[in-house]
Amino acid sequence: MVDAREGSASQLRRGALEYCVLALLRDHERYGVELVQTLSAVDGMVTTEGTLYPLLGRLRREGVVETTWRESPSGPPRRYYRLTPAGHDVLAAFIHEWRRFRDGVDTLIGEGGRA
Amino acid sequence: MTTENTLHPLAEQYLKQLRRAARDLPRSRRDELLADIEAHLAETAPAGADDADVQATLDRLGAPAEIVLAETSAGPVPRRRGALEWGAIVLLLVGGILLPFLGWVVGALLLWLSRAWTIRDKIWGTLVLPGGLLPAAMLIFLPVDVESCGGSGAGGQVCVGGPTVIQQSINTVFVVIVVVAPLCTAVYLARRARRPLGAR
Repeated sequence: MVDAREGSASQLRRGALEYCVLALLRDHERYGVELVQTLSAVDGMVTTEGTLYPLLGRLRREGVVETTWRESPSGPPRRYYRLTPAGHDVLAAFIHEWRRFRDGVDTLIGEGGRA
Repeated sequence: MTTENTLHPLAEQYLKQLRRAARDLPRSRRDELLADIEAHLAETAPAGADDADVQATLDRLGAPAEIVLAETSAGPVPRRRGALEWGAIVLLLVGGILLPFLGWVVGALLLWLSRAWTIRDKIWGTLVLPGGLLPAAMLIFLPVDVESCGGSGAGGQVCVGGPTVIQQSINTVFVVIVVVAPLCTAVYLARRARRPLGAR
């Protein structure tokens, strides 16, 4: 039972994770390691960094991000990620939905806590 | 992207394990994943790095098997509806006609060999209907009723009194079922085979 609870919490996190990736790319492009390290620096967001690459690959196939490999000034080539117009739309829709959802949950949790 | 020479030995070893774990992925997906992880390691675990630091980097990345599992369950996977799966679907449907019944048996064998379906899918695929379209073909091309009717009398008049309207309509419904059921199963199996490995 406890396992099932933990499972749903991690599902919630996994579900939100891809939108956090899109949000990081909202204003400017970033390369893979930069994305991965920024996300895993946030507490409770990423458990295994390596699994972010399959996620990035899926976002690419879905056409919400696009990538280019570029030489870096100091070291190995980097794959840069950038939001597509479709990605911007998806992110905007999520932010709207998320705020509604978050406010709803907060309201219910708050009432439960007071009772 | 030839960064091989600049990787720390531990990272090289990790990459080798990942390559092995990823061998069942479709080629394009495997190449992408390996290129991504290799670029990550080239940046975070270069040749001159401290062993302990590299180990910490690898621990954060996670086990190769875990990454491959994430890749397998990432998104709309064109999950291996390969020759095996198509062979199973086609042979289950018409194999029994092409090579009487045996063709269907081979189809069933392929169905159970494939890892693209769940046990429930496989049971369904086997039971609906054994022989695939073979029973339908036999019913349509060997009209049993007409034959017995023709054999019972000398003229066409006897035949009028043969199978009743009710019998005929029952037969029609039966024929429709044996035609439609295998077709539905084929469509069902084709759709189910798409389900990613990780979603099971």
